[in-house]
Amino acid sequence: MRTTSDIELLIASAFSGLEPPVAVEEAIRDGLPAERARPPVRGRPVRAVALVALLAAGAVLVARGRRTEELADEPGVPVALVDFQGTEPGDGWSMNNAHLIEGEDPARGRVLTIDAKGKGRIRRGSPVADWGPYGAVSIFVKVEGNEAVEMRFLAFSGRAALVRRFTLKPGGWRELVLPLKDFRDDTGERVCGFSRIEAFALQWDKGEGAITIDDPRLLPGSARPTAADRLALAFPKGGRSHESEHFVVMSDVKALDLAKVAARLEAGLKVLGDRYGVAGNFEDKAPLYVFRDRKARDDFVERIGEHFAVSIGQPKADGFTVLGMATAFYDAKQGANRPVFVHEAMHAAIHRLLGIASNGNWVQEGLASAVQMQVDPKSRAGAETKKPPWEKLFASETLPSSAYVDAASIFDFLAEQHAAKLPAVWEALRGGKGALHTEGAALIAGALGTDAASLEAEWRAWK
Amino acid sequence: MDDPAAAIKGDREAFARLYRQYARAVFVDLAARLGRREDAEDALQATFLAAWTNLPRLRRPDRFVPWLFRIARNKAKDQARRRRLGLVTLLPADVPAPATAERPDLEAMRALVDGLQPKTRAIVLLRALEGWSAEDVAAVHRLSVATVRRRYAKALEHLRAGLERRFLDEDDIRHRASDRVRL
Repeated sequence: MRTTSDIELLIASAFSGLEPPVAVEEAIRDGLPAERARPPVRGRPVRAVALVALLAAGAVLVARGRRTEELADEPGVPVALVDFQGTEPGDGWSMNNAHLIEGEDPARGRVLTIDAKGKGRIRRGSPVADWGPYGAVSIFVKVEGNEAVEMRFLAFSGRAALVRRFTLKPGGWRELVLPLKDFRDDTGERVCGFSRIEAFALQWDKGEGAITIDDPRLLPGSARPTAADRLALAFPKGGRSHESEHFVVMSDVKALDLAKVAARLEAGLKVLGDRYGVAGNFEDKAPLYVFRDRKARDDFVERIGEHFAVSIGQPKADGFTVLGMATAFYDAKQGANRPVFVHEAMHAAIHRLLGIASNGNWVQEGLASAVQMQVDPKSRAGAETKKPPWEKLFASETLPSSAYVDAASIFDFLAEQHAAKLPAVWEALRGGKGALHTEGAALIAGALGTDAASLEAEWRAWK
Repeated sequence: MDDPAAAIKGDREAFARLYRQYARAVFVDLAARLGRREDAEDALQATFLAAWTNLPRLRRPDRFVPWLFRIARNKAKDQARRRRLGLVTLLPADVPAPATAERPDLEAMRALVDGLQPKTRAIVLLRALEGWSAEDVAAVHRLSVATVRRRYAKALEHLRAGLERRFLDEDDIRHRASDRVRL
């Protein structure tokens, strides 16, 4: 009977000739190129002055701006989402309305063919949790069949997902590159960032046919848009930006004091943390875009829809926050003190801190209004809650603006009566099942160890 | 300044020392993954050239080794696509194996290791041939230490069983032959 040491010795002896030839070392020594990659720029992200210079200097310098975002500790090399050469390509996927066929392609080796119809989906765990240091998803694809297939790529974190839609035309092998900056929130109320991705999926939206894929991987870069990226989309004719610790304020209105706006947003964020217990780190700075008028803002919202391939309804209010981006327009009388700036920026902050989308739900509107009224007591304009029944208050997914003060009152009540348990409340809302208008009150009550009816009664008795 | 930090700054001598220190392990890993010596040589050259070019972007010199192996893994994939993978032995015919003619157990061991899955083969060779610890292998293969230990132990058991089965079979044949002679 051979021992483990005997086996190891046999292996070492059997492969003792496995040495790299001297010629390789010589070829490397003689072939080292003089041109090397540029080192990453250390320090804080691009500042406003630099951004103005970048914009003035055009696309080449914008590209440098992107390079400064490649500040991840990860080495700048791609990482496989599925190692098709090292594993069976079909292993580890879960499927809905789809069939997988493993195969060998003469050009690419092991590949995976997926036969699916509309709404078919294949999903797999992600080997990398933090996608922040990566700039794009890359997949080699080949499409058989006669019609184009509309698809989407999804990255999941908990109950939330980030999504990018795309269309594949029939044809041979090509590389599909989906920049992470172009991903958007899925349409649910829960949202996430790229820092804790648990799984990814390919989904068929329209069309059918066999699609063969190979080498899905993450390419190095940055998942987060830079201020220059944001300015280019919002103000193609030129705009300014000012970055504070948590926000980036952008505008094409020369008279607007961006630094003053940013300072008010930071003040609002402090209230959100200190009074309401909503605090933490942002994955990226929350943007506030201030346009010169309503039309310019509405045009931008339309461009966002086109850019992210999603249908967005026309904004009805002065402020509008979508996909974590806060928008508003300038009012000369109020200048930097316009309360809607704080209100919308708090939506963007709550989006990042609580993982709750700003779709008009009562949690977003109540919290943002509560902070706004703390920062700008005058903006309350004498409005007081009449404490309507919760059944009526939460009757629909979207809270009417006339009820903002009622929802804000619930959060003031929680802040003053249940401050110690607020972290549990936020966790319950973040991770809870169901829509916020039907389940939100029960989730909060559960976190406080009571039921919704008792909590409502307690709120009515308060003050 | 250590060698990775110096190489980041452009010190070619430091990079040459890094090559001498890690080339063999990278080559073993590549050979295990690709199954063909000439492919491993090409991928090794591509790996170190890419490493030199991209070293300025490596922010943490202490992560040089896992970073190098990740480049190697990507180069192995590129190489595998350029040449279709086939089941071949790791030692080509023109490199004399150490006295395998007189050591059938070594020849058998090579065949058995060639039959392992590429990732397992890489773990086995880095540990048994290069003497790497489970921790070091885990770091470059992005696996847990427990997984490396488990796979290595399972692979050694597989190799031992395969070896003994092979020689038991041969002994059995020899016994039967001698029986016939006696008869």
